[in-house]
Amino acid sequence: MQAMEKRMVKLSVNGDDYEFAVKPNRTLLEALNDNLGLTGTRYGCGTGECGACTVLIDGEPKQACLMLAISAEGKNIRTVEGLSDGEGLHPVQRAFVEHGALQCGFCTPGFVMKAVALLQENPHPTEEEIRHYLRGNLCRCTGYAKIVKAIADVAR
Amino acid sequence: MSEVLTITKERKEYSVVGKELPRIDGIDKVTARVQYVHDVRLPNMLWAKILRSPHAHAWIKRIDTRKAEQLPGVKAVMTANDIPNVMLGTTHPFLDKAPLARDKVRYVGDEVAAVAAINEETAEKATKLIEVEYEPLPHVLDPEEAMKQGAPLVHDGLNNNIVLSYHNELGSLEQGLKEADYVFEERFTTPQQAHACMETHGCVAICDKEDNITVWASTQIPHTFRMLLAKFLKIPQSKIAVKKVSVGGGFGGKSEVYSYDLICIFLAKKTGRPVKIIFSREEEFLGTTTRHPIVFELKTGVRKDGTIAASYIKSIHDTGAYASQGPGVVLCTVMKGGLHYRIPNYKYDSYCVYTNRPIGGAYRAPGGAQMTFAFESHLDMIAKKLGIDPVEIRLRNAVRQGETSLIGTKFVSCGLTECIEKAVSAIDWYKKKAEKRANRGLGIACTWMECGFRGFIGDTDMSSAFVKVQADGSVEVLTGGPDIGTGFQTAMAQIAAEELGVDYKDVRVTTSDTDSTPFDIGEVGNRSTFISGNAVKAAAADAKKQVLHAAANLLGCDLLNLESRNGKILCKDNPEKSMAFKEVATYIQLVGMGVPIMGKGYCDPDSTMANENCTWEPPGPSPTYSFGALAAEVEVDPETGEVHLIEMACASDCGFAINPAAAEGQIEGGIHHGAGLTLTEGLLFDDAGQPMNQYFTDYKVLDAADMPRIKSILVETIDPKGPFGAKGVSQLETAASTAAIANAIYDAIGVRIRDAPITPEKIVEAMDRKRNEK
Repeated sequence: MQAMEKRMVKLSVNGDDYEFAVKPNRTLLEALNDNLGLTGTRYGCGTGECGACTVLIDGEPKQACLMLAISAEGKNIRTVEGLSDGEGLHPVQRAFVEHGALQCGFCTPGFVMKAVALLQENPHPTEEEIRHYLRGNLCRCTGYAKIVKAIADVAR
Repeated sequence: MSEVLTITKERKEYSVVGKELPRIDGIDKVTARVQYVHDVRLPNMLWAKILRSPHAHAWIKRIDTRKAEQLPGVKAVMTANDIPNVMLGTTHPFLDKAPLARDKVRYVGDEVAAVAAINEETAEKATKLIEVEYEPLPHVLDPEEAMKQGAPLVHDGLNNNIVLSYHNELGSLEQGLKEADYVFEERFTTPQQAHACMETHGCVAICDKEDNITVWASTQIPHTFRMLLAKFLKIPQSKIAVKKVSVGGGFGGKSEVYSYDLICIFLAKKTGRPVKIIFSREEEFLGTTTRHPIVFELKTGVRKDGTIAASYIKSIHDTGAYASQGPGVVLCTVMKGGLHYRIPNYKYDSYCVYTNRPIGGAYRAPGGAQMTFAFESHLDMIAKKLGIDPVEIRLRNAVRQGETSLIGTKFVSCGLTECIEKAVSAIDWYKKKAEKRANRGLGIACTWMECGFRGFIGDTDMSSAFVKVQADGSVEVLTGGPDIGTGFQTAMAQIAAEELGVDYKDVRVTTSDTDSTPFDIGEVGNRSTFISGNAVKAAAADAKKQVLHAAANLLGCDLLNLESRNGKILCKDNPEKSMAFKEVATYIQLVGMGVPIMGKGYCDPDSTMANENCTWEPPGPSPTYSFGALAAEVEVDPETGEVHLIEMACASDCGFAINPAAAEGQIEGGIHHGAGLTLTEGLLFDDAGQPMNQYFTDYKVLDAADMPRIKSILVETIDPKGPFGAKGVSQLETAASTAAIANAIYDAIGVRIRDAPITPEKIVEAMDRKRNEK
């Protein structure tokens, strides 16, 4: 078996350009975590079922575990680390804190990114629309109640 | 803001506790600034992977690791022959598991060999190069089959697969059944639920040349973890440091020392390098503990008015291939068998049984959730047969404050009847009953839960804490309990700030770290608010005393006449005489005295261990109990059998809510696990013992659209021993929701399903059967 050769990729993440060598079979999740040290995009299942690795690719929510790093070249990648500018929180982040919409926090970045995407698509979703939009993201701590409330609060 | 109902007059208004303050870790979690074990990266670190058994039961004939060792990048390959002969298990004396299987594998997923390599990919590849020759053995996957004579023995050298059994009678079952007007018997089963924490299990370990071990472990029990590690490795606790990492969910599944922890340590020792191991999701479903599947046979004698005269419980607990916390979970189950009702005669025969399935451990309301599913379903069926309203039968039997349970526990605070009434009115029970919409159903269930449990690690239920006041008057709380997401740090900060009379924002909490924090059993058994909270309160009181002593001199005011409030220390009878708290703190440490301010506190409640007859002397295993009632409304699609959870109202007697928003969060999250047990969850195996649902596509965890609207009601009974009256609030709703949903489904479709999960297939089949019977 021939070893897979690394390739140089150039990724634009949160407005910064990164150039590094990566094997073609590495996922965007692995590249963000291991090559860039951006650990807020989290491994929960690796098969696109839990949403803990949700990032925005050109504004669209995508699961970073299902995308190869090399396919993300030339795209605008946004992760949770790029959401707030230093001191100030993004309105979605602020609402999550105010409503206590998190417990262990492991799934939180994925939910926050998903909520940002939802509100871009549909600034005033109903509770039902929020719940359905979040179906690809799993949380084991909150029962989703406060997550839904926090997002509804931003949408108001 | 959640609804808070205080049913006693003793509740005081406080400055910090009882307030919905934002979580201490909120901002760091939404900005991903917290560190989980997944994020730990040390210089020169290796990655480990485990080779697991593909067989449910087999002899290991031969292991050849040569090819794996030769793979470039591999630094160590390990089998049982390469590690010390240690045995682990959480419940003494059942140390029945080797970190790597010796001679025999006992379930699909049992650890056989491990590799450390320069990266995860190489480690994974190397595990596939390890050749293992197995000789498959007959296996057993059903605990009732496993109990039979002649069943394959999971552990050789034992006479049978029964780890242990408990038999006990309180009162006289025979007499009670004689006095009853009716006797009802039912059988229920519950599934093998997986914790499915969003953060998979993992560990990073480093071992220096003096054999000092440092571990970053995703654990609910850092100090107990260290204690057990020291015991298994036969080294002093001072040789081990457990570091703090954020824990990505626990629910009981991170309250063990696992094989992988020891494997990680042994690989670190062998290679002299830090070693990291992180489970894949697939591994997570097999390689961690699960909720014990239980078979219940219940027999209950009732009088015409619905009051219970006697109750008999036979339960068979499948603890899988190893005992783990099985024996303790059985105790937690039988002490709860409906004893939140006035049952004068009670008998149980309970068995903890080995099978060739994944290991059973502690899982949010361990045993209690299963017991509640069975008993509260049974009670509903009894109510139906007697023509009594399900709410009414519960009110007639509910225990009241001041009463003593059969196991000798005095209910010093108990709001069970208030919980029932509040849950019923919040869901509009009687109005909805009168309207009776097609395919809709209402159900209710009650439960009670211990706040701590004596016997988790022997005759103790200890928490201790330090409260340090810094020279500028700011405060550091050091507690050995971790925050696994429950809001523990926030609650401890509130308790310390209230007790000291300082601003909540000036309090920082250090948890978990075994180098700096004192012993705490951990965040298990619904104990943290009550027991760790009491320890922190006592430590804060001790620190306050030190500050007030100095202030008494400085102000020329009698010690007993001083109070600390809102950052000020003042003479009660002459509030003009006052000093800022921080001024006094500075004086003590930097200016006048030069001594540190360090408060110490502990709480080891006056509870009792189970004796050799597996019963308790008063006051019983827990210092106090939380109570709860949950009402659920569901809609069942008669065509597909799909259950839609519409609404739930949960009233929890939490004693006193230190942080009502966090308490409400526990209720909402707890329901998620209970609803999962009843509707969708459970590991499945084929006849060969091969797992069939190791991914979220096949193992259905309820999502945001599946979960109902939830109304939480916090019933405050102000427990005389709780910190500010608080009790635990994290398990009631998990237990109560299991049966409330089952009862609501019955109410909707008129057919009782006794085997959880109540899947659409079972509903459709049951409804077909009912139609055919007509």
